[in-house]
Amino acid sequence: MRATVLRVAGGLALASGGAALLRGGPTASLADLPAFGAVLLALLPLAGNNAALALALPGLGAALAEGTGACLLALAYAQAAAALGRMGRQPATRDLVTAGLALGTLPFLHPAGAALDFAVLPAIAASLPAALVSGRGLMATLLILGFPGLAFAAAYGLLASRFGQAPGAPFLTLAGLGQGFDAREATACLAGALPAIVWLCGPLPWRRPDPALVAVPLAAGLLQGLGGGRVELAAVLAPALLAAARQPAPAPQVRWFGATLALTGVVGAHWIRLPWTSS
Amino acid sequence: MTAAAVPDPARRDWGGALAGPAGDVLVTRGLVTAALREAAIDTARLHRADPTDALLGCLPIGARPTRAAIADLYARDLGLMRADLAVRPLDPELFEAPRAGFYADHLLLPWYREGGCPVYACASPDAGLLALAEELAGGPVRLAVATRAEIMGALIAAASPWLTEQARELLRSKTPEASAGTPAPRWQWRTAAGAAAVAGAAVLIWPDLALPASSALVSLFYLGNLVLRAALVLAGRRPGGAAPPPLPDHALPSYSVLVPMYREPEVLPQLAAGLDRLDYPPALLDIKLVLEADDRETLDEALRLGLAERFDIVLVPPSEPRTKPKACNFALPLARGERLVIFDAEDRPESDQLRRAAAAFAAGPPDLACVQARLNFDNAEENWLTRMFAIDYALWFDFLLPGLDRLGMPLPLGGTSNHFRTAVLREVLAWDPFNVTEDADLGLRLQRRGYRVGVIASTTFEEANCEIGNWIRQRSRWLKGYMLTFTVQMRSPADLWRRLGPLGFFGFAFFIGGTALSALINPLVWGCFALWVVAGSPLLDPLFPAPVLVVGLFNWLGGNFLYLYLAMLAPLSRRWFGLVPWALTVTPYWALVSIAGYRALWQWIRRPFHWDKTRHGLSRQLRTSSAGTVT
Repeated sequence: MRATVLRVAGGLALASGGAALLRGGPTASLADLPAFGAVLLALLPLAGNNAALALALPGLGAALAEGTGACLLALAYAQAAAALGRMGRQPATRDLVTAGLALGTLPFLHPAGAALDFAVLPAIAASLPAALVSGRGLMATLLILGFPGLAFAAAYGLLASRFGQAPGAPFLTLAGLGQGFDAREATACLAGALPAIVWLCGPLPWRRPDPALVAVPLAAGLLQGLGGGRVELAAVLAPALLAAARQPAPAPQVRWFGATLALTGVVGAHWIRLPWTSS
Repeated sequence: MTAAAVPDPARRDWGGALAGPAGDVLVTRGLVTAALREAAIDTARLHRADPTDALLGCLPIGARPTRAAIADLYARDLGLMRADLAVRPLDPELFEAPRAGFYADHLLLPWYREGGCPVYACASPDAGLLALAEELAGGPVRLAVATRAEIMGALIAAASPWLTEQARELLRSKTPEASAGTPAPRWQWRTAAGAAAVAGAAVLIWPDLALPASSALVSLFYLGNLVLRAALVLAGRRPGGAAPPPLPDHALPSYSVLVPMYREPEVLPQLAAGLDRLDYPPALLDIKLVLEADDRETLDEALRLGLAERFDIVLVPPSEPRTKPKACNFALPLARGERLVIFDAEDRPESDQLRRAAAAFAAGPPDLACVQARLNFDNAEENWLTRMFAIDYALWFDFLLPGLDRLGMPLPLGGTSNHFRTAVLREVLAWDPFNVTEDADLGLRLQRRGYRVGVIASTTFEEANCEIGNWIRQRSRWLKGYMLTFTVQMRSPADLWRRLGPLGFFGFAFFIGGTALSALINPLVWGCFALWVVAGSPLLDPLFPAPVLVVGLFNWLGGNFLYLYLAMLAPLSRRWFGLVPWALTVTPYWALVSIAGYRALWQWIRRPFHWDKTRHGLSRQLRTSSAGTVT
């Protein structure tokens, strides 16, 4: 009975998002196919887990209503968060690569992606084993995580310049700098994040990767909003909820945190208009 | 010369010598304790090993009596002749070279006739061995006593012409199409010449068509290479099955260890230390240092270190081609192990590697003919070149070879730490002495014959090449070997396709042929790219129609990203965090590979069988660390 209720509730949340997307008109159906694909891909690993579905669906519904970018953002961030979460339990090169590739693509998917990349830095320190975020390991980890993003940006810039486009501007727009997340905030984020890494990299007894990774989209939204940019609620809700749902065995506090986020998010999406949002 | 039927040694009581009067002598004279004698008898019977070898294997190296002392005791107290094989050579009428393997197994050697009665030299005299000798001779014989080293030395000297002939010609005479020593078939020459002529004519007559077509071909080649490597990495990183459980001592097979060397006296102490560290019952080990007979410096150093007491020293007489595979072929008939492994002189295998390989063979299918251990460097951080080399090896052994293994593609063996079922190695006629990457060639021949080649999770540490000239010589030999292997295996492409299947065929073509070809065409592509960046697109636009441009850009961006990223991941997976940032400097290393590629091409044309010897012992780090090695 409880499972059925959870499934129905989740399904309704998702369906409302899909309906909102389709209200965009006939052109939306084809152009937003990647959004449906992303949602399906995000749901696949959660199939059969009612609690995880219940956590994920409201966010995915909101993302679906927002369009392709938000869905892909949620999917990519969920991949990164799941991989980093696994790294916290058992380090594996494969997970570091997954996280690196996912984080590298985030800025290209949605304006909030760059903010997520910055906000995730302290969470990385809280997630990864100390050997990977201290001494020689730190540089190696940052390279593996950061190289895809840098390479994608360089490739984009090169192609843009060779084919008569502005090499920096389109990328910077994609990355969100044109959305209020400008160099000042980026510098401030880095200034805050790097000492946090150094501080967190020790064997702290209270290191909790899962809550840290769930909280990252909130921090990213805050960064973007404080910078004067447009914050889409879906860009905060969907990645956070999906990250919570993708943890293999969410700790109780993660589950409660996620559930609260889902509730306030759904309510907020309908009733509250944040002062810095333009949506 | 053909051998008569070999006597059936199954009846031999391997512990007989120690259980009989010879063992009594050793105990009476206080050379060994009674308990040790019993242990050695059990070991010899269990492992079918020479009893004197079994006895010495039960003692720590420093506590062992010399073999000469034991032989002297046997001779004096048993009333046998002490053979001096250096003074009186073997009687060619009695000696049959094709029986060299039998003589080596039993350490029993026909020496000369005394008054019509043949005298046989042996290391561990007993009645059973006497009976075996009489069966060989077809009548009564007398036994004389010699040490293992004396018997092996005389045996090798007498069998040298036959062993040399076998080493050089066995593969070429029985399967000429599989040997690089046989000239390429005419159709290959004609095809190559025809293709070159057609391409040249097309460029002259229809340049607008030919040039885009050539750039399309190059793009497709790079795309294939990129896709293959990505697939290998993905497949190789899938978690494999658990390592098979280790075998108990009584189930372990006998193991031959061949260590070919040439002018490497300086690495002998660390080699001996590494071999002594092998965790394997000594009675089952058959270690042979394979030296060139004219390499006096290495031989003298081996004798000075007393290595002849512990290992067989096989002296290969000078003959062309002077290659490592010929030396290995020379020693192969003398190997008595059911399994066989090749180590290089500078290798330091993990101590349990033989046990892991034995377990892999026992747990694997019957057609598993060879397993390859991983190679790794322990002077990786010596300089830029060693760092790049270490990254290269980590990528090769941790990502690409496991991928080939999982996808069932032909696995080119590395030159060292290949473990074989000896019987299969002999069945496929061993190594091609004319191929300078005989290992890669052998792996392919095994797979063509329906055998499998696998990998094991054990590592051999060796010295990374730390000098650019030396490195280029080594790499150009490898690339030349790939060229040889590719052309030899492609002498019958239809047969290769049928035996390897489409996946195996393309895997071979891109992995062996593609590696050599990409080293050659990379500089041309880099030149084109530089021109494109500097001069702008109009100059090269005719070469790159839209579809070719898309594929080419994908190759360039995707390929560089993939190879750079893999160069970072490879050291990370071995937890060499310090090497990860160095991966960003890998581009000049690729340029060095291309230089080696052109040198390889030149040598392939001018001196195809020339073995460019890699110098070892150049590492300052390893020299420092091995300075205190005591053997």
